[in-house]
Amino acid sequence: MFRQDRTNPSTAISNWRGRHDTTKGWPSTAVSTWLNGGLFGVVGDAWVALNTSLLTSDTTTVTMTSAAATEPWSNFQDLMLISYGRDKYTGAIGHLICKLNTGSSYRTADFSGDGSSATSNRYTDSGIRVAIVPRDSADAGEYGTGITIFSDINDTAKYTTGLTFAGCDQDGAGIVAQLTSVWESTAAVTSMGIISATEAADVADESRFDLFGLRAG
Amino acid sequence: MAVCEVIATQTLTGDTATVTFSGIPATYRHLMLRMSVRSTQNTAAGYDWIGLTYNASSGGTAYSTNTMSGYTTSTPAGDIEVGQAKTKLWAAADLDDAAELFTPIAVDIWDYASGDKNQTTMGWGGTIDASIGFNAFGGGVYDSVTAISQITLDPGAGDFVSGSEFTLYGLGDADPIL
Repeated sequence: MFRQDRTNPSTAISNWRGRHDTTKGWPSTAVSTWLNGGLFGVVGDAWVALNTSLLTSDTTTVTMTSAAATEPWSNFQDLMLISYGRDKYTGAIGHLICKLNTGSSYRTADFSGDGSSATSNRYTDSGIRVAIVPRDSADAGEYGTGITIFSDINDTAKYTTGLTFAGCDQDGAGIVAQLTSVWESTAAVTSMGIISATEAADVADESRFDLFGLRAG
Repeated sequence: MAVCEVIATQTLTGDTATVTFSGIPATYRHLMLRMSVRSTQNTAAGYDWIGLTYNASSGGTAYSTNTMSGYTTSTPAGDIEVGQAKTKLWAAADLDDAAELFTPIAVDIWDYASGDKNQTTMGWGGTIDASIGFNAFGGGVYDSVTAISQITLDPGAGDFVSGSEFTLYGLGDADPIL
C-alpha cells in the first residue's frame, strides 16, 4: 500500500508506467520534497497560481510574499501578475506600481494612447508599473487593468524587468499602454508591495491582484 | 490535465549566434515562448531585434511583420515589413547597457500544428537602459501551412549573450494533451 508521507519502491524500474509510478522515483522521501518543483515540475502544470489578494477595504500597500505563496517563488523562472484596481488619489486616472523586496532604483519606458494622441516616455521610477487605474473622481465601479510579466526573477546575475500591458476605460476617455520597467537589483525576488504610483493614496477597496508562476524546464 | 507545460528551456553558457527548438511535438494547441535576452551588438543608445523562423526556412521571403512601437520620447509609430526572411521580435538589450540588463520578450504562436492555416506569431517586448527606452508589440505571418516543428531565433545584428534564457511552453485546450 502506498503511504502518503513516504515512498518506497519495491518493483523493477522496467515495470514502471509513466506518471503513474512517479512516486517510486523518489524513494524514502517525504512527498512534499518532490510533489512541487521536482519531478512534477517538468511534466505537470508549468503555470501555477501562487498568491491572490482581494481588498475588503482601502489599503496602503498590497503585499505578496514567496513565504505566503502556494509554492515558493524560487521554483519559478517568471512571475505573472494580473491587476484589476483603482486608487484613492485625487484625479481621474493614474498608475499602480510594485516595489520588489521593498527595494528602490527603478526606470520605466512606456508608450500609450488616449484615443486622440499617442506618446512615448522614459523616466526614473519608484516601482515596476503594473496597472493603469481610475482615481477618486472616476465613476464608482470603474477599475483598471494590467498584466505584468516579471522576467527571470531568480537569476542573480540579472536585473529584474517587468513587461506590462495596461488599460483603463472611463466611458470614452482612458489610456492604453505598454510599459517596460527595470529594477536595478540582481536580488532574487521574494516579495512585492503594490501601491499607488503617487505613494500618497490607498489602493481602493475591491481591487484584486492574482500572481502566477511560470516554471522553466 | 495540465493546460501549460514546459517543452524545453535553454540557458546559454556562452555567446551564441542562434537558438533552436527542434522536434516540437504536435500535441499542443498553441505555443508560448518566453525570453530574457541580451545581444552582443554594441551601439550607443541602441538595442537589437530578434529574428524568428520556423522549420529551418530562413532565407526566403515568406515572412512579414507588423509592429507598433515607441522609442524614448518620440511619437509612437507603426511599421509593416513584407517579403522578409524572418519575423522580427523586439527588443534585446545590447552591450552598451549595464551588464545585468537582459530584456523580456513574450511570444505566442497560435494553432501551430493545424496544417491548414498560415502560421501566425504575436510578440511584445521592451528595453529600458540608462539613456533610452523602447517598447514594441506586433504580429507576424509565415506564408506556410506546414505544422511547426522547429523554431530558430537569432539576433538581428549580434549574437545572444551568455546568460540569455529561453523557455518554450505548450498550451492545451479542452481536448487532452500528451
